Amino acid sequence: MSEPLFGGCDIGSTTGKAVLVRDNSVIASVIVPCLPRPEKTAELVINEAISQAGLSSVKDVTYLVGTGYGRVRIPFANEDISEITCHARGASWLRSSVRTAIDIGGQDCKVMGISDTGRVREFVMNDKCAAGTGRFFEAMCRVLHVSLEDISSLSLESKAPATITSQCSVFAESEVITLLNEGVDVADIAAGINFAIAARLVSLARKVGLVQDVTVTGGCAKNVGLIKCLEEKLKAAITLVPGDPQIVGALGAAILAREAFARA
Amino acid sequence: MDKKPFAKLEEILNGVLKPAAATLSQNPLSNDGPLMLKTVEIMSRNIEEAVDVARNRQKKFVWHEFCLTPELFLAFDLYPFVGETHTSIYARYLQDAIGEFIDATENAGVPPEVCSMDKVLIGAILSDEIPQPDLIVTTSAPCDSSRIGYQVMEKLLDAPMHRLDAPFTNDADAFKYYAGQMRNFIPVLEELSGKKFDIDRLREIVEESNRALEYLLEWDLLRRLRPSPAPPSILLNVYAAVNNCFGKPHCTEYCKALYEFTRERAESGAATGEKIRVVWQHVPPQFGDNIYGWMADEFGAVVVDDTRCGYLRQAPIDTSSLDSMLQGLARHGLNMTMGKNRLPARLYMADFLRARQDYSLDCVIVSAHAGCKHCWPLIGIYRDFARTENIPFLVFDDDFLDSRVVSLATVKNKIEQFFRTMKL
Ligand code: SF4
Repeated sequence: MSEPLFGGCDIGSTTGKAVLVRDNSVIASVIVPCLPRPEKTAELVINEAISQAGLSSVKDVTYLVGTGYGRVRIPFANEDISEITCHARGASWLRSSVRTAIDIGGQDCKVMGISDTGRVREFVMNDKCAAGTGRFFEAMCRVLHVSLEDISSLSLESKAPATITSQCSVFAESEVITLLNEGVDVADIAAGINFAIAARLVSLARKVGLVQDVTVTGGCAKNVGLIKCLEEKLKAAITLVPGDPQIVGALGAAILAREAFARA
Repeated sequence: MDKKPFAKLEEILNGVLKPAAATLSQNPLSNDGPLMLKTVEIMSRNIEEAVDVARNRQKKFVWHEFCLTPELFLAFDLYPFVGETHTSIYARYLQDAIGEFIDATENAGVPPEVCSMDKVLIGAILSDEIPQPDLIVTTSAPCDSSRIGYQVMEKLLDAPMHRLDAPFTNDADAFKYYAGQMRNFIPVLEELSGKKFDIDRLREIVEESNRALEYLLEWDLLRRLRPSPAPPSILLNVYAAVNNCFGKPHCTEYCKALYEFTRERAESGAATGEKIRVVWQHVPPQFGDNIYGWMADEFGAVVVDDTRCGYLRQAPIDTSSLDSMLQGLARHGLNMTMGKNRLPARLYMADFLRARQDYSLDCVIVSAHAGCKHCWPLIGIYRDFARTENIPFLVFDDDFLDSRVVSLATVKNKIEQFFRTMKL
């Protein structure tokens, strides 16, 4: 009989992620852009993960946990668990020394304090506005006519980061337009954007109390420029988890699925 | 034509409370229905009285702030009205009015940073909702926001204002000092009412409020049972129901009903579905559906106590002498709802510990009200304390009156994440 297979499916506001775990290793991980309906995104992402793992059906998954905004709309999930719990679990599974995880999602950001057993000690979240979220970056990319990857690399080239004071994406957009009109270098604007987001995240992180190791999860963790700005603002090193930071929530869900199965 | 005072309060009465009472008397909707009906009835009665006095002026209308309870005014046959309590009523039943009042205040030049409690009251004055008071009574506490707010109100209403000095401690000396302030206030009330102070009349009223309080103290003991037999959704309303009418027989009747209903539930051993016991610090969102009821229905999370109700736990007043009565009234007033916001942080922490002991709480939720500088600085201290004491703790920012600042959906999302994540 083959070893049981565990799945995690994280349906966020902009992307859907699925991870399959067997024998303590990740055998498939997929990220897809969101479709209009969460259940469709869930089906799409899990089917891709299933085929990546060389399997034929979601029925091959022994136990699956859903998470993210769309977690309650995942038809094939055995249970759903909050994304905070899943991100914390995923981060600490990947790197057991992580005690603080900053997750930058599509439309919110959260900071989690993690205990040495991998459980959430406490958390704060910002879901009041786009400040400090992937949406903020998307809005800025639109104005600058660059991609998210460009913001990262441009930011690293900056010699004199511009100051962007607005936390609100609408006002920040006007600030960026003004800076462009004044002829400020795009690299300096990109760095300014990263610093503005970092400032927002740092103020959230301080509420939870920064305990090392600190990691960043979510798609925005791929923005090296942002990580650098965060390190500067936090005056602390950031330890990234191995692999893709965007799948940490789905991975945590899969690990929790395995734990739930073991308990049953 | 001039607008009638309390037009919006009357709209709430006729448009929301009376239809709700009619529905509840036909069909209680839930097991808590009979008590909810009594709660709606007492709120309706209080509003009816306020509208009547504001329009017919058969009594002098005294607007007073927290840090005072109604008994002393009632002894002079004056009509005491706590504006702040009514902001919750507008928020709950006519949220549009909150936006209207706040916008009117900010448009008139009051900074947005001022607490919405004061902005709502100032806006209500600017919108001719508030009747011209015969006297405004304020204190030096609880907060800087209301200190500024009351100056604006005094100017707008052009009414005489009396100020009492509220001490920054909460012990016997503080009550003695504040009682002295109240004693000096008696001649002002004599002049306003045209009546000589009658100690026996004050005693009668204080004895009436003592009776109410005794029921509330018994009710408080019942809330400490695990599971708590007290209907959680009622706790959100009790403050608005009784704050304005302590010392009146109908308030005592309501408190008796509250106690008896809860006791019967305890005795019958009715299932409550309680899984999590919560203490709520500061004021929960007053708008939208009843947040305490929602928490109980969705998660079995029962709010067993909130800070607004602290003064409902005060020991009854010794009526043997004027001194003892004034000191008792001082103690009640200074502990009334936000009156406690004037106190040093260590006393808050003592409250925290007491709540843990008395109510065997599982977690604490703090809603940090925008504009309240007496709540925000405590958050870090609370947090450290909760960490040391290992108490699961959720803090979020909101404006308990204005749903435009943080929506109810956002608040609910945070609470849901908290319960689910902390595995409560
Ligand atoms: S909430 Fe704070 S600022 Fe507002 S009235 Fe109460 S104590 Fe004052």
